[in-house]
Amino acid sequence: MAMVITAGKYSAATFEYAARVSFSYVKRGSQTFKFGVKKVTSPAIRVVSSPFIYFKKKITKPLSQEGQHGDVVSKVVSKNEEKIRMLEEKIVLIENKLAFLEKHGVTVSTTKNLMREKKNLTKEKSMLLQAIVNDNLTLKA
Amino acid sequence: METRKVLNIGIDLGTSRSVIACDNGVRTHMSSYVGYPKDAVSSKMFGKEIIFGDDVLKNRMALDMYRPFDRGVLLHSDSPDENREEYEKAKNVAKELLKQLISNATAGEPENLIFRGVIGAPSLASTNNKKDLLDIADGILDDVMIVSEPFTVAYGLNIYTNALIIDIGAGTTDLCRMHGTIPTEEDQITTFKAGDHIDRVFLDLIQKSYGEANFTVNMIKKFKEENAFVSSQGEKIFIDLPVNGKPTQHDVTEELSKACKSIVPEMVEGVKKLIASFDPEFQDGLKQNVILAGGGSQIIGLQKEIERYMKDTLGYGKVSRVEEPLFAGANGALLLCKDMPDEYWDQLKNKK
Repeated sequence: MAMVITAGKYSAATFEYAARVSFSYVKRGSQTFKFGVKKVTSPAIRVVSSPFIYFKKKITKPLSQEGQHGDVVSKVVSKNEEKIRMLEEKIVLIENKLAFLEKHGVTVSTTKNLMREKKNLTKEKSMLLQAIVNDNLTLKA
Repeated sequence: METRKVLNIGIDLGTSRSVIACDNGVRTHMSSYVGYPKDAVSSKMFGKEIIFGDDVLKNRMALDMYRPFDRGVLLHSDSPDENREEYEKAKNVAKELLKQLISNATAGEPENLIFRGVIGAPSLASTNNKKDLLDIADGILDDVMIVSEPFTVAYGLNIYTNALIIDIGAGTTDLCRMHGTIPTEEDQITTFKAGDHIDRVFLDLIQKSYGEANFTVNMIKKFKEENAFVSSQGEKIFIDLPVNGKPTQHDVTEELSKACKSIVPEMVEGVKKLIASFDPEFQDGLKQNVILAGGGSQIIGLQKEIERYMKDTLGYGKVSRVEEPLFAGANGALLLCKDMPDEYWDQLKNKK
């Protein structure tokens, strides 16, 4: 009965020892592999990523110089708000004008504006208008 | 260099109704009545010193009422020295009327506009009559021209030749033949049988038929404007007139028809004169193109009635009516004002 117990103790120690050796081999082996891979891939990664690093620096520099990204955003937003406000004011003016026209029961003219403009008249019409002017000049004489 | 903007205005200062058309898109009209509160009570009631248009008729018991134009021209314009005070009063009233008319049409416009206006005058308005119109516009319009009313109608329709325009207003009926040039005195006729004449005849006929009824010329005028006709066919027309204070219905079909027809013979006589004295080669053109304008042209059946008279006296005639009788004169005046080149306006300005 005692022999069986002793033999059992040796068997367990042997198994434990074998496991530790195996673990040691795996660990050492993986460390060797990791070192080799790192040695090979690191330069390649550095070379491949160098353009992205360049762009990153270029883009982030102005923002970092401004110091606050929020300022730039708020500037863009406020500029749009100003435009919207101006458009709203114009709409209010147009609405007022339309309300006035509706109130007075009038029709909307096709005339674009009231600015003085060059009048394209036929010779006959010019003469007709000149005759009217002459009549009025006589009237004022 | 001129930088101010110009507002062109066409104006028809009528005996009964004044019409304005501007190139800001506004067209409007008002009755040619001006009223001043009679006393402190009425002044307090109105809250203003001058009342215009239909409000004057509605409140005439509390107002001193004025109609500054008669027979198409300013009151006493032909004899100012005989009625100096009334003439000056009429001129001031007309100025207020014009100011109000322009104010109605230009409310909301910038203050620094140049107001350029063309004002229509009756066909045979005298030099004095036209000068009065210039005086009335002085200080209200920056630049102004006076043009024969029927000519402005023709100009607005773009018809310069082979046409005979009949502009029926309240005070005058103006006839004008168009033959490609500015109409001269020989091309125009003015008769005084117009809207006011119809009112007077209608009033007389009702008084004869219904002596017991109480009514005023204003009641008759309003009724006529809504129901005027000369057609022999159609429904009976009744008017409610008070008899001893009680509104009573009266059949006035015959009276109204007779009153409206009363302006036709003289009008056709004018047409006949203008056609008969025209070059025979072109007489047919005039007969085929008689155009009615003005508030009076809205009388139902008037076209047919004139055609019938023309057939009897001239062989045949074709009469048409403008689309907007009331605005035809002012529209044409506006168009003329807009077409007038700046240098032409400058010629007038330099003459001042």
